[in-house]
Amino acid sequence: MNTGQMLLTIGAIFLLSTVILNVNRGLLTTNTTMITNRYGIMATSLATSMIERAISKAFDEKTDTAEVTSLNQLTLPQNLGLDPGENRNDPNLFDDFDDFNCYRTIPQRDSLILDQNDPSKRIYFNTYCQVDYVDQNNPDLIKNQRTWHKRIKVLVTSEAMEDTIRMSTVYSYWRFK
Amino acid sequence: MGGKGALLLVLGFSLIFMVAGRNYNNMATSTVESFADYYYNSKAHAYAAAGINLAANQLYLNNSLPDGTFNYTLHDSPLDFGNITVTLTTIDAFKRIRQLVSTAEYQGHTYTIKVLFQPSSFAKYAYFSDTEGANIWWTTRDTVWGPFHTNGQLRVADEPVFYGKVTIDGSLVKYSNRANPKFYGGFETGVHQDIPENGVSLVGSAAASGGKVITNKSLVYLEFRGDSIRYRYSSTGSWTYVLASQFAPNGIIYIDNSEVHISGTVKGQYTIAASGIGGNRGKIYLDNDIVYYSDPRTNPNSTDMLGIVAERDVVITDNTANRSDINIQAAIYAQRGSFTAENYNTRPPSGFINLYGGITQYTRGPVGIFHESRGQIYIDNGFSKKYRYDNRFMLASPPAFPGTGNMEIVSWFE
Repeated sequence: MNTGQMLLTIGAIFLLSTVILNVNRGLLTTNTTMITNRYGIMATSLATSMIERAISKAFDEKTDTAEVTSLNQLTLPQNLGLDPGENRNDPNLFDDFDDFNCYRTIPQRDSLILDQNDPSKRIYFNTYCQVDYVDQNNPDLIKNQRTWHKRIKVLVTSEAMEDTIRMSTVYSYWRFK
Repeated sequence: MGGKGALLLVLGFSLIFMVAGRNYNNMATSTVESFADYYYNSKAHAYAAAGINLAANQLYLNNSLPDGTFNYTLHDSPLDFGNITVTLTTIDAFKRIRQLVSTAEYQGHTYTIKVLFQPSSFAKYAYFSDTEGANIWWTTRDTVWGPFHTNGQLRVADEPVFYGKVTIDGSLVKYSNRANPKFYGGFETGVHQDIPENGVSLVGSAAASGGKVITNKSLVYLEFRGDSIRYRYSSTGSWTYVLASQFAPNGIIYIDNSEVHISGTVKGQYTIAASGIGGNRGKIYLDNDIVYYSDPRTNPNSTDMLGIVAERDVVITDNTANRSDINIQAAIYAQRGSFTAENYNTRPPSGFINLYGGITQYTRGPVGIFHESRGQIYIDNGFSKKYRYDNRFMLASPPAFPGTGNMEIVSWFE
């Protein structure tokens, strides 16, 4: 093997090494990206589920079993949240939309197992809800008085996620029959 | 040769790794895109639903809300927001069918929800009563196939079956612990729906605009005969024949302050209404079968439809024709009274009421007397019941049939 061939061989090995390093780096990045996005999709699903769960309830404690015709019949803004007999540890007892005000999930109980063969591989999500009365024409504007519209904001965080997932919607009172 | 081989080998591996690396990069990009799509669509959906809610509330508060566009913006943080446009349009002015379209835009992703509304008619009920009376029970033999509502208590014994949604304003009262009603379509309490006091008069107004209004006749006999109708103003007078389409071009017949007797075969879509409060005025008597020319049970494309609207009672006449079953195909509405059988407690056993349609009545009325022996039901007087809901009334109703005054959601598309 002469000097030229030696140089070519060294160059080729250098090229191969560089490619391998790049591929490996890409592999790690891809893995990280996939995990991050997997968590993001899970968090988005949790937020969506929380919203769907909330809007499946009555608009207000007072509209659960009866029709209301006046804003004065609705729950006062300062009373949005749990009603007597309801327990934050048992959301199945919730019967109206604003019961979710200040509701937090319990991370240990609501954790997700990533690997069924290894239950120790869990990811913990924190879900937090906030419910307020909002203005009819500007649903960004929180009102300190009763309106026909309530907005829920859902935040989902996790130590495994860099960003917080934020979702919200408005639930209004209507009863078509 | 060995050097060249090694070189080719190295270059080959490099190529393979570069292709693999590119695929990994594509995979990462695809994952990010999938997450972004899912997140953006979820947010856009939540915003679009918010728009529907905000506008639906306005329509709920004001059924006459004019067509228009509503614009909203929702911020989850200062730079994280979506724009919502909701459009309310009337897509059928005669049937007052209205549409809400909510389109939300978030980070270039749009999501659209469409909801159709129409005035809610009492024809949609398989059974409706304002009050159930003091001592009438739904039992094992009773089956209701469509929507059921009462503003009173629902009294159940044994196992009545309700296939449609059941809504009540009063409470569910069980005859005993053995009572086990089957609510296959759902059950909801706290729902109140009044029978409007102007239901019959609104039919009169509609009849005045292209229908038939009969006044100053205390007694009216009217028989549907397919394409034609015959009528008279006494029980023994001669009949007057007329084409139904000429008699009531818009299908609405209103007889003011009168006792009305009807029967026959209905071809087309008609509503016949009677007003009045003295004597038997305001009552509609069914003198014989009243059925559709084209039976919707055998012809799904049948458009024949009948509404029977009485200010007081809708009564099955006690006569020879009705001594052996009666067939009724109609949506029945008794604004202040009941659907009942004349002399229900003294007439001989008269077979079955074969009703295909629905009943709306102020007070539940009796149609017969029975006794039970060794688990068997025996009719002593009057009728047994075979009621079946006409599913077409879920979406359509006879012309000008009384409405609840509210809108109802016909479809929700997203």
